[in-house]
Amino acid sequence: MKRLAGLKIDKLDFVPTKQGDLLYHEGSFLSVFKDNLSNNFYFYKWSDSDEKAHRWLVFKVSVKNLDAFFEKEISLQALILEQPFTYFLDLNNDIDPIRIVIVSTQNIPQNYLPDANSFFDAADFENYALILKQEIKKSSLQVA
Amino acid sequence: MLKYQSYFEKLIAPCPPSNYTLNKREAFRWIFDSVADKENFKPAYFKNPKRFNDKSDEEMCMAMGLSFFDTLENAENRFLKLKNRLGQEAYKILGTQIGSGLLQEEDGVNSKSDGNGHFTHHISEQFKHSKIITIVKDLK
Repeated sequence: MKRLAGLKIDKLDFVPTKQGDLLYHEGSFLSVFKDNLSNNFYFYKWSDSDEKAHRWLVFKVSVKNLDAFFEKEISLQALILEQPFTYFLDLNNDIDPIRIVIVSTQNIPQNYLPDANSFFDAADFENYALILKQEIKKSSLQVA
Repeated sequence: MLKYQSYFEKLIAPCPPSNYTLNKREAFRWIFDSVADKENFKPAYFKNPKRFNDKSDEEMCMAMGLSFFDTLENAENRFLKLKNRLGQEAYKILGTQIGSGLLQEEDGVNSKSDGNGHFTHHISEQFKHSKIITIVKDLK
């Protein structure tokens, strides 16, 4: 796996609970988690793997950006690049974290980023995406 | 007899689902390097069962099958759409080539194709897919 330029930490500073998968093929590739304490959304995007671990790019997504993503106003790549920093989480085959690194967004290896035109398309995403899209729309209306 | 029948029986949901059928059909699968590599035809669940701990019985059942596509075009399109979102390392996890072959009725049971042309194939005990799969396209 690629070397990461960042700060190694012992644990994430949020308590994630999995909400569902957005991309899936014989396993999860893009999943949504929610922080139990703040209710912030986090995306976990598969980014790399070797014989010991799978590497996940973890980044926060605001409700406003989530709505914009589902409305195809912002790409998956832009969701990532908008954050000042992201986490890289290496999970071993027992799904235990073996390395967590905070990486400044500008230092994310290019190969780990989605394409610039990585927009939402319901046909390519799992059913959970539509459920979440409705949920976000409803909560946006309530706030408005 | 299906190869992983004893695992299916541990699930509460029927596995394979009752709408899966025995049929002869052309099939395309993303594979790594050599068609002879048995890992190419090992269902995702058996590569690492813990990855599926948070999944429903229906999803676990699907993970005990193999993913195929009904046309070369659908196999390539779905690959490109996932790579678009995952980045260049996608080859490491999805595959580097498309293999093709003709699934016979005795090879196992199949789901219907979804909107992306994807279908799940639960393999029979006797069949070795590496005998019929030939590489038809390089994905890199």
